[in-house]
Amino acid sequence: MSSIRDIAIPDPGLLRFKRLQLGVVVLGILVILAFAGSSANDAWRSYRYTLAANQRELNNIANALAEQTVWSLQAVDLLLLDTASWYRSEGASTPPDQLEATLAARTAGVPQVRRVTIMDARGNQIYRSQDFAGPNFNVADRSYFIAQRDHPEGGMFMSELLTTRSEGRAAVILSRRLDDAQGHFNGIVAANVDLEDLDQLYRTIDVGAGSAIQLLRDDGTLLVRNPRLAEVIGHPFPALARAPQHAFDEVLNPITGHRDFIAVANVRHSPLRLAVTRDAGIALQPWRDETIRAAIRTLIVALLSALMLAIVLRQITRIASGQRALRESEERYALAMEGANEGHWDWDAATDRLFFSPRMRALDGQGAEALTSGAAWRAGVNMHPGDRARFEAALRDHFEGRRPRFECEYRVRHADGEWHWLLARGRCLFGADRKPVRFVGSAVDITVQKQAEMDKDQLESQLRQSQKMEAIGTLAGGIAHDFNNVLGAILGYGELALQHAAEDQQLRRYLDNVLHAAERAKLLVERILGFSRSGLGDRVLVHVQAVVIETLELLEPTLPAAIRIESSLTAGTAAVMADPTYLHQVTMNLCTNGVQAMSGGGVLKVGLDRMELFETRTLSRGSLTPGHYVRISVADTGVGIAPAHLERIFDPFFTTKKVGEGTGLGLSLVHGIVADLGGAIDVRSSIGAGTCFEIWLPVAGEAQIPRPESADWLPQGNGETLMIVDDERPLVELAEEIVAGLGYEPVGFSSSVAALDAFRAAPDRFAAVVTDESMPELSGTDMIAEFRQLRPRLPVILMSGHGDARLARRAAEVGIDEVLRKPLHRRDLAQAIARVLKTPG
Amino acid sequence: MKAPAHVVIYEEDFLTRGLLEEWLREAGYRVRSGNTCDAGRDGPCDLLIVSVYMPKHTGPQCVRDIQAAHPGTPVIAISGQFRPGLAAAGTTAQALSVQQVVAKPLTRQKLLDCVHGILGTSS
Repeated sequence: MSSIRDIAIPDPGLLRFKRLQLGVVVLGILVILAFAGSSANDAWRSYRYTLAANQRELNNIANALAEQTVWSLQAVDLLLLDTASWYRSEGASTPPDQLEATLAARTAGVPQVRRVTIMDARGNQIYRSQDFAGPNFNVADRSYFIAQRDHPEGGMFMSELLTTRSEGRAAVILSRRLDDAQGHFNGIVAANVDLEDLDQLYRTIDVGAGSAIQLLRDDGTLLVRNPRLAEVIGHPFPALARAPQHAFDEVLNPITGHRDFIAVANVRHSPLRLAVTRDAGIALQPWRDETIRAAIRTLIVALLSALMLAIVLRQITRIASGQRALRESEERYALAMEGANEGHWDWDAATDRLFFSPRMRALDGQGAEALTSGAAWRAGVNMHPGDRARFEAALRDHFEGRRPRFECEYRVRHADGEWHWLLARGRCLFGADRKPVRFVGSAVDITVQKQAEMDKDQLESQLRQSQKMEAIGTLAGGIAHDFNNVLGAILGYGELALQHAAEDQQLRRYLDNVLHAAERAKLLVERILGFSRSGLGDRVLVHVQAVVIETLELLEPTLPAAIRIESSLTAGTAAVMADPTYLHQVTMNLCTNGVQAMSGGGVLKVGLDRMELFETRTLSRGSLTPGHYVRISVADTGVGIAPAHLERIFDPFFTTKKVGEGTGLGLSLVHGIVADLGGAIDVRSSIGAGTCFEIWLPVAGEAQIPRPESADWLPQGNGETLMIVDDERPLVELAEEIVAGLGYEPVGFSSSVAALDAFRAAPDRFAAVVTDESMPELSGTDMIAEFRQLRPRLPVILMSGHGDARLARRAAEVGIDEVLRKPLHRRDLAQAIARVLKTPG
Repeated sequence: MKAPAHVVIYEEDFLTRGLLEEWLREAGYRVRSGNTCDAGRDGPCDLLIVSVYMPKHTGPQCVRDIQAAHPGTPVIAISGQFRPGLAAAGTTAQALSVQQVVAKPLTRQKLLDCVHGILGTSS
């Protein structure tokens, strides 16, 4: 049962499946992590890049605008210098009207300058490029005047943001010192740069959403902001004026309250700073959008990966469970096959490849080597010749579509020489062209069932036989009853008739023949009664071995030279309850049968032994219950019995011998007697090899008295010549053989007249005479009477088939020494001859 | 000399019955035939000779019936279904509860020997 053990151990397939599952999960997670990591890295890099780009952009803008502011201031300064120079050289000579016009003309070329004003040394406005209604103010308290007055070498000065006294507008004033010819302070020339106008410089520049341009003084005062935000102009925002420490610094923008990126550039030669800010949130918005998109992408990819992972896992599970189911199915199938003790085959028609399961190989019995092709199987299979044609026909019937399934019972011989019955069933798969493609099936050993079937058949046949025998027996019993009545009447009245016809010789002869015939009929009826179980006889304990020995002693002298007897008698004192005469007949008939089967010579094996049965056994004829048995076996090496005849050999009057050679009652007598004794018969025969009969008789006890005389010693003769007379030639020969075997010299005659002639020719030649009584020409007693006239004391033994009082009287008249009953027994004859020869002749 | 013994013969077969009667009368016995269906009608006798048909089956019952009609009378059973060679007073006789058995076909000598043996007479 290896398959069952396989189920119990951990399944390597299951382990592999678990590992695969784990591997797939880990791989999937790694892929997702790698993707997420890559995305995070991208986002980080993108963040850095965005910062750098913003910073660069802001720096560039700041620098460019600072430069532009420088240029713008330089233009104002140039205007101031030029105006100062012009005023020094020509101011005094020019009328005030023209002077102001000239100032206006000069100022018109510099749009960022609202007006140019000239103040005297005390700070009073004296000329203005732009005329408007209003008084001329004194600016002596203003920073741009004080700076120029107090610092002769100060150059251009830029004021803080202030509100002009003339117009009340926010503006920055740039000033230069006016010196007289002696180099004394003679006032200032100031350019009013209105914040509105300054604003124009930056208005057109779009620095993007969330971004702003701030122009501040170095103290943080906001001068200009683009986009404009009027309410914060003039307020101090020192945080914006400080240059950042690091490239990517952020600053909390005090104007907006947002965190901003910032770039600050100094405006050369001035106390101005240009700061460009950009809302960090807005600056990073594209990056943030991109990052969100990337995150969504990553998430989607991760989800898809997870989904695929799940699908793969599910698929793996399905495959694994499918494999498990397949394996279980295979196991179940294998177990079922094993349980049913079936083997199976699978043949591929195209390649002739053949698969045999181990059990199938065992069933097929072709030995251990693996069969790989249908041709090899055909070549090697040891199929019973009687089954081959049927097998091929069944195969053809199925392959050619006449039968839906292949089914065949056939025998194969295994290596140990045993024949096994197999039942093979299968089905062929056909291709589109109706040609066999694949042939699959299974086989099972049905030897036991077949045997049981055969046993059953045999039992049924036995039952039929025994019923038949019983019917015949009953019939025979009835016939015997009536026949015996008839024979009794013939014999009885015949005898009475004989008594009353004493004088008439001719009538006596006729009556004698009638009686003679009736005697023969009587013998026949006796035989019929033998096999009829309705006959009733005496039963005593019979020592079986003694009976068999006696039979062999009687038989041996009559055997042809070519036949030899081998006996093995080991039953000891086993005895059966039987009529000894009948038991004797059983053994004699079997031996005679065996001898007759060996016309060409041979060995007659006679065996006798004790057997003990522990279970019921069925023989060819009859069944035996458990118990002690004595077994008589008689085996010949003769022609054997044809199977067709084997059934009928025990039937009365069934004989294969020529008419006249056998009565056909021998074996039916054996059967009747054995069955009557509660025994059974077994017959085995094969044509040409011989036949073996076994008689099983129940042991009834042990023989109490062993045979008084030695079984193998008989009185022997010493070459004395004996005359033997009987009208039946075979009986003469039988007697001759017995006598010769005892050491006498027999001279046989089958005619009493011829015997009388021979005796008259030489009366002293014969030591004794053995003669039959009933003979046609001259009866035995009449012949003896003639002999006695020549030799009155001649020893005579008379044999008679039917002894009666008349014969006894006649024998006494003639002076017969011994009267022997037929059939002739060797022992009786030997003893009788010994007795008559002892009396002086 | 005492009166001749009285023998009753139960035998269906008339030839055999006739033969038996002839033998026994010649030997000096008084003989009469019995009827199996009405056994014992003719009163007591000294010996019964009963023919047994199917001694293994219905025969013994038939013998017992006749014995019951003649209590204490010795019986010689004769049958065509006794096997030859059986002893006159052997196991078969015991099995049938009779004094003697004689197999058919009968011989005069054997039958008369049996009759003499039982009745203590001699021929």
